[in-house]
Amino acid sequence: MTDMMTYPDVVNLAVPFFIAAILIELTWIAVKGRGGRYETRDAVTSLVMGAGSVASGILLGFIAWGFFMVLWQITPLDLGTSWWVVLLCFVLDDLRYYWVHRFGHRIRWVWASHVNHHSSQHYNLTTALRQTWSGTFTFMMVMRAPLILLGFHPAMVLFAGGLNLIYQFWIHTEAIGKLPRWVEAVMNTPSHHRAHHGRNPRYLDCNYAGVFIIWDRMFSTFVPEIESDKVDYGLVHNLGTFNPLRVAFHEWIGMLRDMTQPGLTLRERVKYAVLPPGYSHDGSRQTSEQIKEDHLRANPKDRGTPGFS
Amino acid sequence: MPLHILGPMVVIGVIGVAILLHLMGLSKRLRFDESTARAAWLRHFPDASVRTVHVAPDGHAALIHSTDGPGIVWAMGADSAARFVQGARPEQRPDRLVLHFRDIGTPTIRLAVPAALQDDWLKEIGPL
Repeated sequence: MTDMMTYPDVVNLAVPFFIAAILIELTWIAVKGRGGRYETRDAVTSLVMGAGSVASGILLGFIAWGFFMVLWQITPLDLGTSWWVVLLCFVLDDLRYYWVHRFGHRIRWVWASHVNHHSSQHYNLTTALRQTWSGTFTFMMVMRAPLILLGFHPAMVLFAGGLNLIYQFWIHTEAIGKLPRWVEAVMNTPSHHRAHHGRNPRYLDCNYAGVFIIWDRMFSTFVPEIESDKVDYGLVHNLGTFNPLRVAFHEWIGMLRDMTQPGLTLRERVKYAVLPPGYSHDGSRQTSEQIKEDHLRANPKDRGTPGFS
Repeated sequence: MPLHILGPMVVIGVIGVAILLHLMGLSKRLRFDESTARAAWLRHFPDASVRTVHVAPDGHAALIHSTDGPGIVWAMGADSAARFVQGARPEQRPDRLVLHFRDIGTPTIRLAVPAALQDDWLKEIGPL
């Protein structure tokens, strides 16, 4: 069994490309007068969140790595390093990403980590870098366990995950409209991901894909971007701060406050952690389903259209 | 990539982008008039119809009386945020009215309301 295997740290290597692409997008918007919006404090917050995410990976990455290496010692399987194994690993890791991302929107404990990525009211290439600092504490690393137990080396799995993250960078833009039909059918595209970042009732909890949009089509979470329902970016309740520390941890603190408030049963406390964002024991808040229902009461003509079926 | 290269590259990149955006005039805060404040409020709370709007003198915030209670809509850079004010702790300063919330995502709203108008605003807001 191969214990030592190295792949390039592709996310770190891509940093110069990220900066160059941001400058190109900004220039494009300035010259063309369309294709997105930038605002200084929003963009700086996103960039600092990106830097913090890399730092958090350097500081806490050993936890996931240690877990993966234990699994690698346990498993009798080793698929080796052939190109087709790397390709298969990439595709299966994208399926893993789909479910982690879906849990990230449907389980508040995981949403507490992921929410910061949706906290910008802008949608440009800096938004792509607005990444979590607290992913380790979601324990979603367990979702990679099946891949490693099947014989994909941990280094290869992380390499595939890095490529997945880099792919997702370029789709965070309004500068690219819709792509040819076959691309939109198979791949996650700027259009599909714009819908994912929408706070409009129609677009809540859709398009979780990383690279291949086929997962959303397979698991019935696909909603196309619709011209008549322009995407409004951000959170249902947008933040009133640009402070990166608050952006990174506000939902964790909010959730812990909810869980520890007096007078709740143990079951209610647990529900605040494991049910979707918007759950409340007294019905004072709304989940995405309730927001959609409210929308349909006010706009019955939308019933049965994408996002409301 | 070695940390001694990655670190400075990230720092220079962030500072460079910030300076560039500022020089391009992209640091301007959103300004409201009555109509845009109303629209911004409804964007955040589509079910809470607006009764009255009081725009702050600097145009960067507005006090909204909605069917669900009083609230503030204010500029977050080029965009807006909004929230109801129940539970806020007001603090009067010479040049501004500050509302403190027990909310890590919106700890304070600073309203450029001069001292002479602050009592009127607090009266409009009503009991907190």
